[in-house]
Amino acid sequence: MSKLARIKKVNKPPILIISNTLDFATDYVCLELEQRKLNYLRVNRDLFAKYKIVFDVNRLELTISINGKRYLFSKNSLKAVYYRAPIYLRDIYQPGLSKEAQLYRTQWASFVRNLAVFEKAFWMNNPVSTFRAENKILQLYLAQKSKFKCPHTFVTNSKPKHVKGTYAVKSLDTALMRFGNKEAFTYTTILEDKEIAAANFALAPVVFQNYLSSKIDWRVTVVGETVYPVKVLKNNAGVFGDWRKDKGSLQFVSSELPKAIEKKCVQLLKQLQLSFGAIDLIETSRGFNFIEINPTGEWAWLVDAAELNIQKGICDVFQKNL
Amino acid sequence: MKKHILLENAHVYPLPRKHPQMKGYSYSDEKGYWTSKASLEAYVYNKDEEKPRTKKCDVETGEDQKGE
Repeated sequence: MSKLARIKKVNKPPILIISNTLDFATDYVCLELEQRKLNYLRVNRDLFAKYKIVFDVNRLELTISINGKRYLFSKNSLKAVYYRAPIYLRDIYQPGLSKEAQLYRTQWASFVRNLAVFEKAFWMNNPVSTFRAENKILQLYLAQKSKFKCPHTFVTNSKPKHVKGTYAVKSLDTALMRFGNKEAFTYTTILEDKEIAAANFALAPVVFQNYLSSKIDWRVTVVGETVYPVKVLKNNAGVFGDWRKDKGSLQFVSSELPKAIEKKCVQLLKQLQLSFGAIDLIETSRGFNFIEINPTGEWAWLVDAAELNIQKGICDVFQKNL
Repeated sequence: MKKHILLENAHVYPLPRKHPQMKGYSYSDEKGYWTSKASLEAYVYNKDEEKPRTKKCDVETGEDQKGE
């Protein structure tokens, strides 16, 4: 094959998807892109050792070869990036991880984060924005600036004084802990003042929020300026405590939010420089309260559970940016 | 001494976490999705297969695979 013919064979997809082989949300997006006949490449972080990857830093050109096919991404050709990867890894030193696995994970994690140098491309989401947006105190601060009502919240490592009634207690950041052959995860726990008074706090900060009773949880997935609100119900009523604990028996009902609340959701994403976010709201008889936003929130289960084709909304935004 | 309030109330489960086995399916590097070897139907379109029900299949580890 002549040099010219080889150059012609290089594929230049305008859409790059960074994911993992078992991330099924990405499957939905690829199926939708394929249906729209859009040119894209999905790369999976667990398969990177199988690919040949070269990043020419000076020319800002990324070449990826997979099964003998070459794909080129340059600052001019790359228009959109779907980033389905962790911003940073929290458990690389866990027992049982070989030094090779640690090296693989730390170095490739850094590599995909560094792709943020393609700053002209549209990102869902840019890892830099995600890193910032994952901070719960900042989320609440900006949500209040967006005129959201927020439950009274304090973060402390000392026994709170004057607690009275019921509180939602949670970690400030994802708390995933390994010990022996077990793992522990902290959901939001609903505790009474007496339990709080008897508890130990000093080791790490804890988030306390006034518990909102008789509530209905809403999961609001925002894609660009499109909002997909879902009520989370059990036996047609609100769920006590953290709904994620009860996931097997829940109903996810696609519902309409008041326009003013929808606007605030979109506004919050803009403030956080996100193009995607999954917002948790709580509705009580006194209105809607902002709880938190997940910049990397999962949405794929809502395709079946609430018949929401969120993948179409994601592809609409990509297509708009080509 | 009592454990920290978050440790006291943590949800504890045994390792390793289960991952879908994908038996009978193959992944296409070019297409970027899994299909059935028998029917060629996309895995995510098969309502009988286990998919992320809420967040990360059976265990909530943070939504961007922070705990992987």
